[in-house]
Amino acid sequence: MTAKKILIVEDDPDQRLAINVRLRSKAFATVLVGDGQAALSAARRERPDLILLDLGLPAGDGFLVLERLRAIPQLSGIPTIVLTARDAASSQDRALDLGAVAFFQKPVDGVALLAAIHQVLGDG
Amino acid sequence: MVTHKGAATVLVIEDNPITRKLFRVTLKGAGYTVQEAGDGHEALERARRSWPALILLDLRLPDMTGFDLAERLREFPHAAETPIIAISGLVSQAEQTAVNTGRFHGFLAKPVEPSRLLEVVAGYLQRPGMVSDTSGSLGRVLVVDDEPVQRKLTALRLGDVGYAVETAADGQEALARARHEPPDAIVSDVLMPALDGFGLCRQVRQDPRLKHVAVVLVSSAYVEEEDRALATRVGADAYIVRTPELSEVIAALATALLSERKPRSVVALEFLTTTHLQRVVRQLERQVAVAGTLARRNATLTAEVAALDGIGRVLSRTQDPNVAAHQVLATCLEAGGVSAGAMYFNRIDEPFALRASIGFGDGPGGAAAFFGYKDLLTEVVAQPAPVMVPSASVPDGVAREILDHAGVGRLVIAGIPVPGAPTGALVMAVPDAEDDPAEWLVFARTVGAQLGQAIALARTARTNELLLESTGEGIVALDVRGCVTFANQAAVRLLGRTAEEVKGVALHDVVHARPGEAHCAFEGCGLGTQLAGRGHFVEGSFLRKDGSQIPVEYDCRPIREGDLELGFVMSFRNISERQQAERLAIVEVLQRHQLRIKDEFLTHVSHELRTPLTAMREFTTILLDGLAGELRPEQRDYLGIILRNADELRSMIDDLLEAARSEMARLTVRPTRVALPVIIDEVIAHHAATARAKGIRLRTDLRSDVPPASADPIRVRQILGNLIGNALKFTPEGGQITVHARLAPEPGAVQVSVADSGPGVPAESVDRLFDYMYQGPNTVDLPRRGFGIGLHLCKDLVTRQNGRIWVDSAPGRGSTFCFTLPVHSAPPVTEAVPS
Repeated sequence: MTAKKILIVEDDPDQRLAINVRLRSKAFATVLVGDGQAALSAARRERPDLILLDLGLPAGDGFLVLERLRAIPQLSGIPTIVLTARDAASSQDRALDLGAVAFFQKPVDGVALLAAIHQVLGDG
Repeated sequence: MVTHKGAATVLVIEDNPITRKLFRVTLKGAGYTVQEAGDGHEALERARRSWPALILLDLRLPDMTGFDLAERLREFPHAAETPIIAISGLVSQAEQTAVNTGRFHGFLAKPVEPSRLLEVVAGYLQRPGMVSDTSGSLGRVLVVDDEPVQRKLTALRLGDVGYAVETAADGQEALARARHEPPDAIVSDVLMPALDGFGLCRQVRQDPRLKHVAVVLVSSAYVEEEDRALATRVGADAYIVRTPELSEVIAALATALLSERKPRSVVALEFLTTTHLQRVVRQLERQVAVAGTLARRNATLTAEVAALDGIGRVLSRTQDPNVAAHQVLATCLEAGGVSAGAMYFNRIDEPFALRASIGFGDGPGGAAAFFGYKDLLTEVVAQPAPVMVPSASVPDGVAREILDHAGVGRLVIAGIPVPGAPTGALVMAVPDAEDDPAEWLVFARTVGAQLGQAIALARTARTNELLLESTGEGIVALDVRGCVTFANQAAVRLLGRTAEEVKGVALHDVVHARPGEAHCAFEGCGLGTQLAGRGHFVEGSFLRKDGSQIPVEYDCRPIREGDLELGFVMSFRNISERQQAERLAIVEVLQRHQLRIKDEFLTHVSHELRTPLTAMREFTTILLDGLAGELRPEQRDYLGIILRNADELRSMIDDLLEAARSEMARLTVRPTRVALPVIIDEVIAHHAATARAKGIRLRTDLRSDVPPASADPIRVRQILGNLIGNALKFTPEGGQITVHARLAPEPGAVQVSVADSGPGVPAESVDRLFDYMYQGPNTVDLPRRGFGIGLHLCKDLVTRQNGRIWVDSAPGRGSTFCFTLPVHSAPPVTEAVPS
């Protein structure tokens, strides 16, 4: 069985790397991008099994990326987990309304994030 | 002959008691002796007993007409020398003619103004006979007019100016008098029987003894160019249209007398005669046409105007509605020369309730029940036009019965339409002598309509008055000079003066000039220019009587009627409260703005501080998890130290940000009813994980009788969280923390305490523990310090919720932090007791 592919959308390189190390340690294939524009082209190109999406992004914030993903039929089915440093509850509601499957407030506990990913991908 | 006013007796023959009273009061006030008669027979009786110097005779009397009575009075001795003056409201064509035929010396139209009455009476009594005294120094003038009133008026007016006046009733008489003793001038009417004005003038010019006499022709009707040409041809000096004050006649007479007299050429006789006859016929036709209708319309209009005027005056003067109704009715009847009438208005409980009645009987079938046919009023009022009884509109039998009960020959009924209010009806008796009932229908309808309007107007006026006096806005009316003509209650109150103190004074001097100071107390005063009517609200300041100032907003606009500027109206209001509110609003907006910026800043700082820390923790964890290869035990220990310190740093950052946020949210302590056990359980649950991790027993001891507190639940959570967090920090592993809730020792308060089994606080630190930035004693064995913000914040929050906070502690015995909150004192909900 081929490794599940996860698209990591995070503008902070340190956080991006930390998540990447975690996921790779669990044998996931990862694609890393740092802004919203790149996130959409990577999603189109790579067709990931799951997307980890930071909401605070340059070149189109996470909400915009979510909306675009939902509007493209081939991509609309990809489960997306949203990460954010914003603490407003409204961000969570809005992200879930836009189709996100889970929501994590930063700083994200790596272990909890892995558990969520396994749950979403159904291979816990 | 009586020539002295003090002894003069005036006989007033008038059936309307109101008019009679008016005449009596007026004449007696002027020093005359007054005799009164209500009908013809009484008048004759009085005249027999004592013959008066002057007779005022109403043309409409109950028992005989004025004309018949005048004829009979003329049969008395001395009657020829006694002026008889006719009085009438509505003048019919027959009356008009009769008055003009000379049975009366004068005529007074109703309503008679007291001043006019005195003027006319004095005029006749001081110049007895038809000739003025000879004191006239300007010259002798012969006044020729067949119409006695005109003749008299002209004679009086010219006498006043200073001429010696003789009179003649027609051209023939005038010519005879002139030939007997030539006057300096002749003022002659154009239309006269026997010899008219043109003829008289021609005869005068052809008489060698008279051809230098000045002749002024006067016409009562419009003068055409041909008339003027004819007047010139017959040698008249001037041809004037009569005006009431005769000013043009007097001017023309003076010019004619002053200019040098030269003989005038006489135009060919036969030509003159033809033209003359044509002109005279034209004049005659025109005058008959004009005089007939105009006089009649004039009389009707005069009566109507008088009625309206009287109604207005009564309503503006009289407060008692019943008195007002009677006076209004009396005014209407007097204006029409009517002796009986009634006024009805719809009431909620009674349609067409009698409001006022004059001259009708009171008995059953009287005016109150409209003579037994009250339904007729409803029918009539529903119609647009008034109804005459008898007429085709009323069944004969009904009409007969009504008139029998009313005791009059004819009645006219008119509606009183009041917009948006119950309707009423006006009933007036019509004198039997009246030959033209149509006039009465018009009169009744007009008066009814005017009554309705007057009532509506009075109601509007009252409503307006109430509006003006009820509004909180100060309203002041100013005349064109800026002096106060009216100030409503609000204005008087705002200016701190009485209504009397404000009235009549220049507004600017009252509100903008300090006593004893010549100049306006206000720089760049706008009130002056406002009075010119700019018409927009400006803010300013008005002085009150006590010298204090109130901030106001005022607006001054011109009061215009058509092109005429009558003055100004200024409205103003006290804006001190609004200014205060505006200031507060500005402060609040600024504060909110500051808060928002601070909030944004904190969010930013929080993000920026946490992000690198998160990366540190993440990679430390990755290393510890062996994701970058196997670790030696020492490396693992050191990474553990990094991780622990990163956690502490994160905790401190959280505290700092929380403190900053609380500080920022200072304004928002909103006390409400708080169930303390619920909040305590929530906070305990929040800290349960940490306590478990440290092996600390976290428990509660909540009394069941703890009443709800009056506090802000968010703030209580914050205080408790701080205290429990502190306790967790300082309590060693295996220790115990207990949260108690009970009634406080002082009344009306509940007490919450957090007791730990930590190291305790040395005595010297206890008092300083709640100080800002106090970091505790320098004890090496304390696990960690904080910023010294948490407890300070707790104290601030407790104090602002009317509670107090303290600590009981001794080294080695742990610490107990206590705070109190007031008991919520809402009235208990009463519950229904089951039966």
